[in-house]
Amino acid sequence: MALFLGCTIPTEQYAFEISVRETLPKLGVKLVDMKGASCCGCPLRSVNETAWLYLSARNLALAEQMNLDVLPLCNLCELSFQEVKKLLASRPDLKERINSLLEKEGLNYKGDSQVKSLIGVLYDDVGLERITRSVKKPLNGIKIAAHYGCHTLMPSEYERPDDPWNPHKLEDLIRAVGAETEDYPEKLACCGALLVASAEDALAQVAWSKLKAVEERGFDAMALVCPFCHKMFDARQEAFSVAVGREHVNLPVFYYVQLLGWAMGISEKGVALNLNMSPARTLLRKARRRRS
Amino acid sequence: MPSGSPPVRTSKSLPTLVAELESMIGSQRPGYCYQCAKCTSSCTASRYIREFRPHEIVSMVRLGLARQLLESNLIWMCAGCQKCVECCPQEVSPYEVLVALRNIASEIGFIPDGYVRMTGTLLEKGLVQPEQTAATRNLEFVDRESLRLPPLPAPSNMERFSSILREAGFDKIVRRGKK
Repeated sequence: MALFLGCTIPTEQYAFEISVRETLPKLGVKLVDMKGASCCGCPLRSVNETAWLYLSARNLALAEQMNLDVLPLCNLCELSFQEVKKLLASRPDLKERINSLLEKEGLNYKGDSQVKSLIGVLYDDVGLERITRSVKKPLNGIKIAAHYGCHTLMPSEYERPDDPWNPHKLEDLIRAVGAETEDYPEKLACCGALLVASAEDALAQVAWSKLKAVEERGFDAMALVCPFCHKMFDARQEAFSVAVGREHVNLPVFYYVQLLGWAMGISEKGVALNLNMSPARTLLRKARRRRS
Repeated sequence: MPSGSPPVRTSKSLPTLVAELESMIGSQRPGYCYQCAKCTSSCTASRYIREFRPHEIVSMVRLGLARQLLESNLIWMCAGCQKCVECCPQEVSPYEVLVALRNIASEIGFIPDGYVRMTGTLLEKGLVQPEQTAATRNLEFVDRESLRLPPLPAPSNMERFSSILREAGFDKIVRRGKK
């Protein structure tokens, strides 16, 4: 399938890209890079809807040209593709207008490529059974909180990989690598990332509260699938604690694929554990020492 | 709102803009709202920003007071989590109402600097952010090349790509940034 990276992942969230490129092919998921890809348009939807529609349709048209389904790694890109797909399917006039823009680049949007999500690919395509079989070094004895990220789940009027209010797939995936997990009241709480430009104080409150709750409920770590959530939760714990003037948090935060790859026996470098700013590597090293 | 009182940068009249706004929102949608405030109860931002209350924003649009919102910082304070969309019993979608308001606000020149910057980068590189140097936990600095990642993707004909976006209305936004 066509690997769509978006903007945030390939320009800064390198751990996500590295661990996906390393892990997914070992589970039989063939990834093909998309030449000519651009932003999905979602960040600029607020200032120009036409540009958003054009940009999402443009990338989908590139995937159609490759004759492949597309896997956008970023939650925002993935939702954006689903929204635009549905909108253009119901509005032939808009589709025509967008295609007249695409024509200038020699592209045409039909709407026949499937849009995949990482959780969907792992849970529904690869499957828990194959994942369990691929695990060589299970993460026994670590309790990990699942953070789905809002756009993985909602709005459910668009095709989403899991139930909006009662999701379970990421938790099942966490158990499949040998770790423990359980439901917690703040599971669906947002990371606040999109407040960054307009309300930094509120962002600090939103993110710190979630981190603190996960820590206080006795989890050893958090696993997530979205580059924006990771950007908030992994690298900015100290900054948020200072900003809200409360106790500091020190919680290991992982992309789920990093945990998966590590449990499959991929090296620290292969899942880019050196790039996590939270004490992620320390936790995994300690757990492995305890086992051996 | 972002610094000072920017001039209106569109030739369209206010009634035209409001008509556009209504067609974007689907003018009937705010009309369906019965002010149960489930959106505000579920809202990420309003927990910490008291004056940000989605059901009030919907109500203002319903009462024809959109103009006041267009010039206010408030419409940019949403965390975009879309929980309001998910839990609205009337399918009003306060988030979509905000996006429509933001689009019209941008059209008349009220647009936060962050968006202007992203627009500029997009026209130049095809992405809204240029490549960043990242730090490891041991404070080594890395980039795509040192991590042996393939080069960043980019539209094959950058000039054509940006001319399409300029035509779609990005020109105005970028001009404001250069002011």
